[in-house]
Amino acid sequence: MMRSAVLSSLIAFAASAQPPAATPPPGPAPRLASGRVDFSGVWRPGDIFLIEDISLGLKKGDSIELTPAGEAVMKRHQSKDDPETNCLPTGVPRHAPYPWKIVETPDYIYFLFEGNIHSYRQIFMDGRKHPADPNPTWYGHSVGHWEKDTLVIDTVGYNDLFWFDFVGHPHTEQLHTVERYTRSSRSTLTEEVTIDDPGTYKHPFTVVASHRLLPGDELMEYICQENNRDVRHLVGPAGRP
Amino acid sequence: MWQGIALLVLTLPTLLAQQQQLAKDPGAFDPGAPDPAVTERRRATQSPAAPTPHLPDGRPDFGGKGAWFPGFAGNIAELKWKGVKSADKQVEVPFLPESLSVFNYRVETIGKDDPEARCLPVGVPRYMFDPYAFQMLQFPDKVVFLFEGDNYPWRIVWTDGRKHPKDVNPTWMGDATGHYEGDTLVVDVVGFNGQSWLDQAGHEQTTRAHIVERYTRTDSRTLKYEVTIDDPGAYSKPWVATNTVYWRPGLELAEYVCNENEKSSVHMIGK
Repeated sequence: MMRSAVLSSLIAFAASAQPPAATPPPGPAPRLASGRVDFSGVWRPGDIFLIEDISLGLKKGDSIELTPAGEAVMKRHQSKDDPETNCLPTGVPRHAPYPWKIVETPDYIYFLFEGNIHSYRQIFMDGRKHPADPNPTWYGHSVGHWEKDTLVIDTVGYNDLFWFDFVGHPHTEQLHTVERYTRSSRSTLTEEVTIDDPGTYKHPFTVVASHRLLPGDELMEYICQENNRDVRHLVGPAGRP
Repeated sequence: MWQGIALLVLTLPTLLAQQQQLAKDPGAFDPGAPDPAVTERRRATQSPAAPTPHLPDGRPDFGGKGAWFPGFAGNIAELKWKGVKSADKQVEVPFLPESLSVFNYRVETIGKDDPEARCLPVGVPRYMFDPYAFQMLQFPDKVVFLFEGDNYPWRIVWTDGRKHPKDVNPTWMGDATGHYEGDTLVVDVVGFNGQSWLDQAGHEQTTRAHIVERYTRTDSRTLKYEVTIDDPGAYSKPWVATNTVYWRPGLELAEYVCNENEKSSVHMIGK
């Protein structure tokens, strides 16, 4: 109950930046001068599983099977220890309910986050490979390429600290993700993420999510660390609100 | 004893490697080039700086394969602060009596209340005086700053001709609009929340602050930063601080999450 009130207020807060709900603009995705689909714009996570429980977004027929080690870690997770609650990055693919945007230069793509400690993520688009021994980080080492109109991002080198969701799905430093982003219409960005972590899950699985365009909107400054008072009110095992 | 020898043997290759690296580039392990002698030695080992690069449309180019690294200035009004090089030139700060008291308190309590120590944004202009790398991405309508330090944040300066909103929501970074004057990017910022410190020393910033920043890439390797602080809540007249920011070819931003394991602030007790 408490959690759901907190979540609703978070969602309401994120939504307060935008004009009154309008019908999403119809039509196909816009294109850049180069002919490729343009990903720019402010996006808002449209699917609750990106926040609450990743298993709700499983691709049809797919399943999540924890290894005994993974299960043990997940059972230990208490709500108060959720890194997101403690103003730490949410890693990949968790988004929390905050808008984000994509900016692009010839050699890089950046995700700028309103939430997620108001940080950014860099994706190398210059053809480089992953380093042999990457320094473990919250966003990992990401290399990307375009497959026609789909942005494909391959990431390794994650730390093992973030959770995939409120229910506390864990991972190890063996995590390898492949994200595929497609702007299927002007107002929809579809994300398909394959999660492979033999340290936690018996087999890879894929989740599908969508993000909605917030036309005319911009990201606000959100500093989680400024006045975080939630943690001491969170009791009990990790779970959905 | 044996452990000591083992440790020495283990660390020896690293030390040797560092010494070899230092011989090649004397400034390689020096963040922010606080020592002019080190800066000079580094310059002597680098290829000469090229003229200011420009974008195809004639605007100055603040990017390239590399990142910017500010010379660290703990006190933006002093040439030296606690024995290290600080800002570029000494400034007489036109304190109002109350803001002088605030400043003195912060100095006397050794910065125990510094927001940066609690992983909060350092704000404007402190990013340009702190020893963390940053990049500037230029687009037709905006400049995006990406910072390595603090909690790994970003900042947008709009260059599409928009004005500040009438009733701006107070924030750490403020509302920033910019335009180009020749080779200089001029950024006008209002709408601060009054919580940032202008620098580590503790110069105050109030909600009435109006900051004008001037970024000039004087050559391929050098960014001159000049900031005018007009804050009638703290100072009797506008004053100007300057700093030099160095280009580090090939440097990429690393992920730095201050809040991950912040254990210092509990020890900051002001005595």
